[in-house]
Amino acid sequence: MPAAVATREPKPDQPPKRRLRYRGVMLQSPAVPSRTPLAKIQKAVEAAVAKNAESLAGSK
Amino acid sequence: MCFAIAACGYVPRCALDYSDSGAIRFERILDLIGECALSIHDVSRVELDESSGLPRFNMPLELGADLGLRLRGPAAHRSRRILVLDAEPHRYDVTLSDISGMDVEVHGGDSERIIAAVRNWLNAGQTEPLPGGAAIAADHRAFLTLVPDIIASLRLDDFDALPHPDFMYVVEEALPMIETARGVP
Repeated sequence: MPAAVATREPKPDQPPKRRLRYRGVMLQSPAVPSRTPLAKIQKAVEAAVAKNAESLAGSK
Repeated sequence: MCFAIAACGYVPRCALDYSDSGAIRFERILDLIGECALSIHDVSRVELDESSGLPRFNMPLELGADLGLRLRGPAAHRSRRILVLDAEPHRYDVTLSDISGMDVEVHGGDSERIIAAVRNWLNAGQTEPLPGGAAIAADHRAFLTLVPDIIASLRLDDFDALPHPDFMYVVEEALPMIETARGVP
């Protein structure tokens, strides 16, 4: 499996997407649509981070 | 590898993004390579097929196609950048001697060395430095602790059941939250 990477610009006719930042880097959304609703993914990640907040804090 | 690519602000593309069995996989891969200016090939993944005992040559085939595009393809692809990874030093001198002389990064099968190699390669030529490999690796370890709960929330069976596009959306959502939750620079 080649992991080929490319920068990508949104098409002008698409609504602007929410852009997330990580350690000063502007993240780009994946190139293909998700099969799981994005709201469900976001909720699952938020819940996992909240559940593990104590162990994440200051983890090495 | 995909985690590190996303953490550096790039979009990993691979054949796993597409489930249409009607398309010939190699043609799909060639399209993906042609659409991207950067590519990474891990030639260590030449494992033996369990049933036949024969090695799988997909990765060297894809690397060859990529090199052919750079060396003999349209002018726009002459400047494309290619990172080759292998598990052991100089193994490719024996198994893939035609690429001797190319820069090959060795990772020893260690995910943190893969992350560092990918980050350092993507960092070359950046005006602003990317997050360090150690920081991304630490965030990756944190991410792995979250995966079981994420999978459970999504009501999937196991890690591999998460389709690759969905995995990348999970990574995109998780990276900023992990940075905040860890509370370290």
